[in-house]
Amino acid sequence: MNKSMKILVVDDFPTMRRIVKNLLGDLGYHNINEAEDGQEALPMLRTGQYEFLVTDWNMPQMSGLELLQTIRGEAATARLPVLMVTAEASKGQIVAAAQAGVNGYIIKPFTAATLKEKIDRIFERIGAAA
Amino acid sequence: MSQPGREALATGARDLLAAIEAGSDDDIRAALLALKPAAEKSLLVDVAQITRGLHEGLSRLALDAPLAKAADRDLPDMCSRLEAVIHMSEDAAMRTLDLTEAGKAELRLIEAIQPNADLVRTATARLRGHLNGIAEAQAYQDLCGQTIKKVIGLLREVENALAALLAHAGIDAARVVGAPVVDSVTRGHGPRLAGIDVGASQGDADKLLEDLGL
Repeated sequence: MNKSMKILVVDDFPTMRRIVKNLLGDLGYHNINEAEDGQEALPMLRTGQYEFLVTDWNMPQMSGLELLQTIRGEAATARLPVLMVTAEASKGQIVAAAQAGVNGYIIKPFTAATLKEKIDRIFERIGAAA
Repeated sequence: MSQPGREALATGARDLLAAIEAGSDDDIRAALLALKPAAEKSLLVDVAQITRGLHEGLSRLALDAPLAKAADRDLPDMCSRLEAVIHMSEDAAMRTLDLTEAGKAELRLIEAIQPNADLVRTATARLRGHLNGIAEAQAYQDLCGQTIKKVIGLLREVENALAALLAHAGIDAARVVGAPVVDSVTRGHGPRLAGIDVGASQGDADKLLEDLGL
C-alpha cells in the first residue's frame, strides 16, 4: 500500500480530526489534510488530488453521507476509496452508507487496531479488483 | 366568535347574497368591501379573546413567572453553559493530545540513544501503546460533544416555543422576570464559566483574604 498517498480527514470536531491524523501517522501515513465538513471537503476532493477519504457522518452544512453520494456521482471522485468513521450506528444508516458506495465503516469510539484493519481491507480489495 | 361579530357578519353576508342575485357588479363589489371589515374585526376579536384566555390561564396556574424566567433567563443560560462544557472538554482533550505527542517524541529520543537494548525497546513499545491508548480515549470529546449539541438544539427549540407562547399571551417576559436575584452564598453553584459568570480569580481571592488579615 502506498504510504505517501494523499488523504483527506473530514470531521467537525477538531479533537477527532487530530486523533485520526495521529493514528494514521502511526500507521505511516503522513500526507494528510483536514476539512470541517462535507461542504469544505467537496471542492478539495474535486481537485482529484486525493487518494483516500476518511469522513465523519454527522456534520453541519453537508453530512458525510451527502458528501459520499455527491462524490460518487462525479467522474473525478466516483472511485475514491472512502472510510466512514462515525458514531452513527443504526442498521439503516450502515445500509444507506453501503448503498451510497462506502468502502469501510468504523463506529466511534474505535481503536488503532480497528482503523488499521479496515484500511488494510479496503486496499486489499481494491488491489484484488484491479 | 362573539354574538355581535356573528350578527355583523350575517348582515354583510345577506347583503352580498342579495347583490349577487339581483344587483350590478358594482353592488357586489360594494357588498364585498363592506363585508371585509366585519370579517377581520370578528377574527381580531377572536385573537384578543385567545390572548386574554391564555394570559389568565397562565396567571391562574401561576405559570407566567416560571415560564417567563425559563424563556428569558434559565434556558439561554443553560445553553451557554453546555456550549462552555464543549469548549472545556475540547481544550482538555487537545492538551492531552499535545502531551501524548510530546511523550512519544521523548520515546523516539530514548530509542535513538539506546537502539539495541532489549529492555529499553520493550519498555518504550509498551509506553508508546499506553500513550496511543490515552490519545484514542480522547474520542469521548467528540461523542459527548455531539450529544450535548443535540440537547442544546432541543433547549433552543423549547426556548423559542415558550417565547412565542408568552408573546401570544401578551406577557412581557423581561418585565416579569425583572433584575437577576443575587445568588445565595450558602449553596454551592458549580464552576464559574468564562464569559458567563463573573467570578474571582485566585489572585482576587488571595488579595481579598490578605485584606482580611489572612
